[in-house]
Amino acid sequence: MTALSPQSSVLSPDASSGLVINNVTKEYPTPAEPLVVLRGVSFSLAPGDRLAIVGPSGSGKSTLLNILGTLDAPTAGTVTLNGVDPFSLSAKELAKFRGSRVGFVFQDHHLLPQCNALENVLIARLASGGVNKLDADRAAELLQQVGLRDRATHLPAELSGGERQRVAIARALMNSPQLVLCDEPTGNLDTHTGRIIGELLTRLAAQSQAILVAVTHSAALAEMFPRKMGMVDGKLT
Amino acid sequence: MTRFTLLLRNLRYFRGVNAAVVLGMAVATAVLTGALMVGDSVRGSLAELAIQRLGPVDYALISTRFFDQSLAQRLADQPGVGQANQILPATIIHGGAVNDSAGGAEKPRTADVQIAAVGAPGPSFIEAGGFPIGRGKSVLNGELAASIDLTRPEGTVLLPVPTQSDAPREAALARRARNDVLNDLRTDVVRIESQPGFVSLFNPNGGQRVPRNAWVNLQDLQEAIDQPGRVNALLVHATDRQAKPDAAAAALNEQLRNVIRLDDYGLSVRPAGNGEATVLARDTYLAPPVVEAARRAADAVHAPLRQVSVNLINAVSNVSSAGEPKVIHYAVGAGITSLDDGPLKDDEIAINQWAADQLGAKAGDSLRIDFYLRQPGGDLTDASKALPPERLTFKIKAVLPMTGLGADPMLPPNYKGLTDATSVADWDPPEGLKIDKTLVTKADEDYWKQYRAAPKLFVSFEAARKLWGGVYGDVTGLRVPAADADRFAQKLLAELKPESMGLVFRPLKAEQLAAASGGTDFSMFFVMFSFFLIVAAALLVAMLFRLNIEQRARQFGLLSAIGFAPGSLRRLALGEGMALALLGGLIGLAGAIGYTWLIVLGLRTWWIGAIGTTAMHLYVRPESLAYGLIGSLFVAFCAILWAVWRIGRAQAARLMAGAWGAPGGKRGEGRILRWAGVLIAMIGIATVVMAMARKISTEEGFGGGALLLCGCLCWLAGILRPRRHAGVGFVGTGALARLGMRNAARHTARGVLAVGLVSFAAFTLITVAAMKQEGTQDPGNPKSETGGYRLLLTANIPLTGNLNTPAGRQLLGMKSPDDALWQGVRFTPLRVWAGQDISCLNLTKPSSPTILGIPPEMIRRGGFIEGSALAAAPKGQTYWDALDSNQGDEIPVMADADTQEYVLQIPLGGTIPITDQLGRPQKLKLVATVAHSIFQGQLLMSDANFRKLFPAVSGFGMALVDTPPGKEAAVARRLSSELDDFSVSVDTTSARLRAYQNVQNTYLSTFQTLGALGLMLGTLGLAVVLVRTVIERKAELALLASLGFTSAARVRLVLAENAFLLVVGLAAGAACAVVGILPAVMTSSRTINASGLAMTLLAVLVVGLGASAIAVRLSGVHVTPADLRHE
Repeated sequence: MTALSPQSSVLSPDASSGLVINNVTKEYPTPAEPLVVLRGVSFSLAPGDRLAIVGPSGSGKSTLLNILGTLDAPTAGTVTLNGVDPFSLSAKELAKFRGSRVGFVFQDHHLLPQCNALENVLIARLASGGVNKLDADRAAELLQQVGLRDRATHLPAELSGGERQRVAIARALMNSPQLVLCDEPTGNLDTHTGRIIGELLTRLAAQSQAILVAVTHSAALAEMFPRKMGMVDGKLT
Repeated sequence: MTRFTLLLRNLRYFRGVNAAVVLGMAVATAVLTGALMVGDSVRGSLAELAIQRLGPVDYALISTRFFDQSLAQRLADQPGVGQANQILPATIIHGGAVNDSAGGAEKPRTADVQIAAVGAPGPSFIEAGGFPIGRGKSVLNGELAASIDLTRPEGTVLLPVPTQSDAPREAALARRARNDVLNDLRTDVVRIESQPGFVSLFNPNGGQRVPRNAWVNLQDLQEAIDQPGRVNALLVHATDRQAKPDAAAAALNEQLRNVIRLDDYGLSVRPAGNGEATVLARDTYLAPPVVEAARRAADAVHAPLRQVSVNLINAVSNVSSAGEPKVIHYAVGAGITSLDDGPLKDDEIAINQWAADQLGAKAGDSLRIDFYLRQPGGDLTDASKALPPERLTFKIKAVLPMTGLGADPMLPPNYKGLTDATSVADWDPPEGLKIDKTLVTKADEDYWKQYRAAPKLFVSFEAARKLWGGVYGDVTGLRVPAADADRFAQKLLAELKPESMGLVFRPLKAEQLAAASGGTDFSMFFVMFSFFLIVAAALLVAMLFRLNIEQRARQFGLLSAIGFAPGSLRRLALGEGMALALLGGLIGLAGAIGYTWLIVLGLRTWWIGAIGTTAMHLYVRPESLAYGLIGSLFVAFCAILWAVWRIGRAQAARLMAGAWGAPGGKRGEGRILRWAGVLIAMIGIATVVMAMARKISTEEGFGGGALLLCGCLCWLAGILRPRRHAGVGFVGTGALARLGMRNAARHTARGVLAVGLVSFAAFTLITVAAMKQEGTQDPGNPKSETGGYRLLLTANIPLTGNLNTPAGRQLLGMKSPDDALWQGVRFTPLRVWAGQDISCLNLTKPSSPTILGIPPEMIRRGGFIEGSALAAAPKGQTYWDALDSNQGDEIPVMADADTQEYVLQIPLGGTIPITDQLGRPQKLKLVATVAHSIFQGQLLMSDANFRKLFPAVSGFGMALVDTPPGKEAAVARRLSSELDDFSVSVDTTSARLRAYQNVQNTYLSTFQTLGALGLMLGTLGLAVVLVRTVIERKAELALLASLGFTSAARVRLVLAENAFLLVVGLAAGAACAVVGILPAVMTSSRTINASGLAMTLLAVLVVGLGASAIAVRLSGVHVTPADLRHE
């Protein structure tokens, strides 16, 4: 593993650019005692960096990803993306931050079954306001990039698992995010399709100079990332 | 792509569950709008009835006083009046009817018949049908014909009618015997009118119930009631439809003042002796407004006015004479304000020379007089038995010569059978007034021949007023100098206002149309009755929509993840919800029309006891549709807002995982809810205990039960929370059931909502059932709803004899007045001012309530069930004594508590404006109430006040009868048969009570029916929850299948969860209701049909479980391996 070990994780010299995670801790309350999921995680990534986090189930990978994506708040520690601490923002500003700067690809594609492929991509723009012709063109362009130009009007139910995930990738990139987060993006796919999806992800992220962070069990996918970290019991190794 | 497009896509994609939301909303809208439209329909139908009932009559003058029928023509001849109006003289009285053509010993008869006649009907009245009516003919309405078994317009009908005496029946010399007060009008029936319209429905008092109407020839009726040429009503049809009713009525009243004559008031100014003219009244006594007007007129023309009050003195004895006092009998005595040489003192007397000679009396001697006094019960007694001797003893001041006042036969008014007799021997005194003609001497006869009824003795007017005056009046004549008579008469006419004599035009149609819309508010009733149904539908909408939202947790999580702000998500969901609500609402409006039609049909048939008329029709007002839609959209908005609110609060990460809140909820939340539940329940129990101790009302006791239920639900919400369970919970028998119960705790809100729905429905059904009343448990108990009186007698023609005495019964023409049957039977006679029924049997707003005069002995007796009182009764008094309390210018009255709340709608201390019999505006102040009594149709007033306000009401229209137990049937039979000519009806008080309770019970049945519908909706909600749960847990069920659980075991598992919610809901609702109604059951005649109720609850349980079983089967508890892969 060409690891970026926790020891080597240092704050970027320029804290105003890139993703900076500093001593993040996450606990969940339980009737007995708090359940500690993350224990003082720190690292930083510059624009264009691609990082894979691997580890066993229950090690805290997804929790870390949720915190990076501002879907969940840390119990302690800070997260900044290009100098902005999203958790200091109001709920409305946070939603805007997430919509404009963060893209998600989930294990389960989470496509809206009532919308076709193109509309599922455009949903990302809808969050930040209306959709115009340029947006529609960009969505079509993204679908072309993921190889689904001719399936733009198909409903999710009419697409294969790999195709659905490709739509999800296009959706994640729709707003030109600064950070793309992937949670087991190939977890539901066969090896071949998983590889294609992995390549697509890394290629498109590199093209957009977005920071790409993926958590995965898949060694094959992790190998496609130049930087890798392990996670065990809430700590980066 | 826009957010609107997304919304539309969502609506379309989730059409299955959305359809259920739309359906729920449609039900809520239909019920709410339907409730409003029921009110519209009742109001509209009542207005239509008012128009049908009054037909061509727009304005009416209806009086207790009879006047010359030419007044109608005189009025019509006034400029502008005849052109704009058709004015008809009419007579309207109440009596009975007997089918004289029927065979058999007992001819069918009925009471409470309105007998009316109109003179020279114009075109608009002829169009109403049946007019003109020839001599000896009659037209009956269908209701009357049916009540006397007359099916075809043939045969003879006998109408017992009250003769309209010129003298007040309360006066000592009044004729009160059966033959004097009753007459029969025999007519041939030429038509039976059953179609809704003026002939069949006419009733100037309004009300929705069909009256019993008999229309006869005016001349026939006038002769029968001894009022030839006179009428007591003017009916007006306005041809000018643009005129404002109040202004038009005022204009008619103004014109009436221009044409009215003194003889219309029954007054005449005649030359008298002593150089004077006298004003006499056809009614014997001059009404107080006449006397007041006469004073003003005399002042205006500067004429001296003397008031005269005449009475028959049975005996005058010279107590100053030595030896046996000399006595004269049957002398007319007069009270006069002044003799020619000045007034008498109150203990002075003047006699004419003839009397002085007969008595051997001179100035300074003392005379004692004796005369008849009318007692409150109606019997006559000697004044010497009722008054101390000193009040009947006078000192002779002067002996008048046999000229002038000393021999003036024009001083007394005409007493039929007395003053018009040619000799004393020919006197025909009223029955009951004993004249011992053996005491009449030749000198008496000679005096009569020469001086007729010229008074032989004079006392001061004040002394006369105190001795023989009455509330009906105490002035029998007014004297003015003959030279001033014409000017005085003109001025008297100008000073006397028709309205002060009860002659006033009212805009009858406008009043009854207003009453139609201002009475019982059925909109409010049905919104209340349907409240539970509306709440159930709203909760169903909320629950369905929440299920819809919950089902889409991952979607909302995704939208949140890609940048949708919480507000945007809420708006999106709210938009969806409101779009569904709008669609459901619009469908519901159509449903509302059907629902209203069904309810109106119910009111006409199953619930007719509540409204008493079949003339109810569906009315659709666009405003109500709009209000109903807006109201239900608001309810839906609240429900949907509750459902979607959590979207913004949930964490995106948990939503993405398909979950909503934090696992296990907030720490300590369950404990707080449990303790809050305990606290609320304790407050509820304390409230019930206070109600049982009668510190607060039983209705507040119901509230205590409701609080207890809220506490239980709160506690349940604390218990039904996902939590860690110590040990293994499903070991041994019933393991599946316990696992099912634990499953029920997985969705607290769903579970509590479902339990809440069922429990509130059960609570409502049981509480409402407890409110039902059936008669009274102990009619002989003075402190019961019947006051201890077992029978209630009502007479359309007031009874003038005292039923408590043989003499009184004889006066009333009863056979065997000394019969042993009457031993131990005690009558409490009540005077009745026959206004409008103010009970719940009348749906229109009463403006002139029926009033009962309560005699002093009944006030002292007290009894009945005390409702509330403005002030606590002092020691030794009862709350009834409030009727005698001093309320300044306001007259204290009591009412039934239910009447106060639902009909009068005024608080204690509130006032009711009325116009009394003399046209004076009066304010009646509500000082106390009786609870659940037999007096729901009337206001109660002390007899003393009653007689001041309604002095011309003679006799008793009602009597409460206290009979020994077991005797009531025989007494009722005898009274009914022997007093039938008085149009008497005798009911048991229990039956009367049941008639009122029947209305309330019908309302409660309506409430129960709609509540049961709500319960069904609640059960449906439970089934929906179940289906949703099964769908959600399909993978889990698949897992159980893979572990070897049979299909039946899986069904049992899911059903156990539902049964748990259903049983908890039913048990909690029933238990809390039973606690809540304890105070009512312990303190009144309310009983609960426990077995019926248990059957209802059991049926709900069975139906609920059955529906659940079907729902489970349909929703696919049978799983496939594919379902397992989704786990």
